[in-house]
Amino acid sequence: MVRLLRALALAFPAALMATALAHAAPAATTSRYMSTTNTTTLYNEGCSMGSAAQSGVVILDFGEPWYSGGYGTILYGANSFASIASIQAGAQSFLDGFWNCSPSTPVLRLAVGTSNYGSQVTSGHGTAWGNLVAALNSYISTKGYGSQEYARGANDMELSWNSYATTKAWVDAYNAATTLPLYDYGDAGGCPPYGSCNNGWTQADLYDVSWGAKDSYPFPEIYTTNGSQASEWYNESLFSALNEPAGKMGILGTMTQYAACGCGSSTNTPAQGFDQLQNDLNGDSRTAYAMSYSTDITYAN
Amino acid sequence: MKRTIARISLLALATVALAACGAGHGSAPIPSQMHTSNDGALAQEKAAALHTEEVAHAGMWRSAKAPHALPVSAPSETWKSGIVETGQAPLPGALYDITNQYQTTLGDRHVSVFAGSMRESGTGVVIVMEKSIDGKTASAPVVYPMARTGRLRITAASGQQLTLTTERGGRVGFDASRL
Repeated sequence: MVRLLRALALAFPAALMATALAHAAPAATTSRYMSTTNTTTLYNEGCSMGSAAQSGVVILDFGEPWYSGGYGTILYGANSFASIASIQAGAQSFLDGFWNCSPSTPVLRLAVGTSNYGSQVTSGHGTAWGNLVAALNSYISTKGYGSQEYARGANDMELSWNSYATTKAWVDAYNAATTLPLYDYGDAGGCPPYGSCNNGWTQADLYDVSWGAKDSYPFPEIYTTNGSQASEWYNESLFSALNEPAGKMGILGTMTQYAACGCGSSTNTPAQGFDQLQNDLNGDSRTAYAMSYSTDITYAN
Repeated sequence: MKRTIARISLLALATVALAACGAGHGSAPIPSQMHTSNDGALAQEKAAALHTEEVAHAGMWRSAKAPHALPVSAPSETWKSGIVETGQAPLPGALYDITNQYQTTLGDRHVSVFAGSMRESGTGVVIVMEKSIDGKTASAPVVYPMARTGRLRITAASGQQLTLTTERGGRVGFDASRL
């Protein structure tokens, strides 16, 4: 009887912590695969979010890194080159629209996104991207938007798309260019419990680019309804808790693709994706952590 | 013994109370400062940096709102037509390995046809996505598994009749005009 009571006494604190961290999924914002840098379109998108008084993280994914007389990306759909200057102008319009159309309370963290896909993932591009985010931060300050707006970088780092070395070089260059956060909205493809990670990556490599690097924050895609991606990131968090001297990673939030993709098993709703990962993290006291954000990405512009 | 039972009972009550609080849903995000006592040094360092940034932003001057302001207009990009040699697609890389794509405009829709394979099984796949000309609406992708073909690449387009070639040289047809 005493042993039973002692066991219960040990279990309750863990339950207490998990319960303290349990919370409903935050309202999901709309992130976008960008086919355009048109300033009118982006202004209206920002205004729409501001009018709805939404707070949270918005990732504008401008596509894979590219170089054509200067750094930029290849937009989705249009498959045309977008220069850093045009991306900056578009993002600034989004910031304008959000500010002008919002009441005084909602807070936007706007992340300009690219990926580690393709042949132009270089340190030069990482530097350019960091400078872009820094320029957006300066714009926010100069325009008087700072009480409600923050600039961020983002990269859809998917293990199958490129090597750790190439991806790390980009991340390192970004980190050297700015101190502003970089969200990794990629994957942990093939990592434990399903294998030893795709394409030669290791859990240590993924930790390095998504959290270990000074500006990096994990903001993973949690698409699959069977919980596989949530499980991969729980295991990544556990790896960090058990192996990394600096301790466990802090996963900021989740991205889903409900609006963009009816891809069979990859159609978590935003709440489902958030809850899957939050429950996995909180189910283990070594990884328990309260995530803050939820975003769902659409192909519509 | 009685003290032990009393302590456990108090802990149980606290747990139930917190669970009841958690069940009351709010839509506001939980501040990122809500950490546990077992956060590592890096988590604490990053939380401190974010907090410093938030304090700085709170002290920034506020511009007047201009709800009737009009954005500066600029031309939109022109969509490419035909076969586009890129594997970039608005699709999860963990699920799909895209080789290339074909684009066309049908009526008031941009249509993109992606070719490749399922990442895990290697089964050939064609995925079709549509977007309105104004970009404001997009349909969910339609996935066409192509059994026994392996990874596919679009190698020819005659009007909207596409020819896809497998890695072994086999060919399959796909009619994009029926979409």
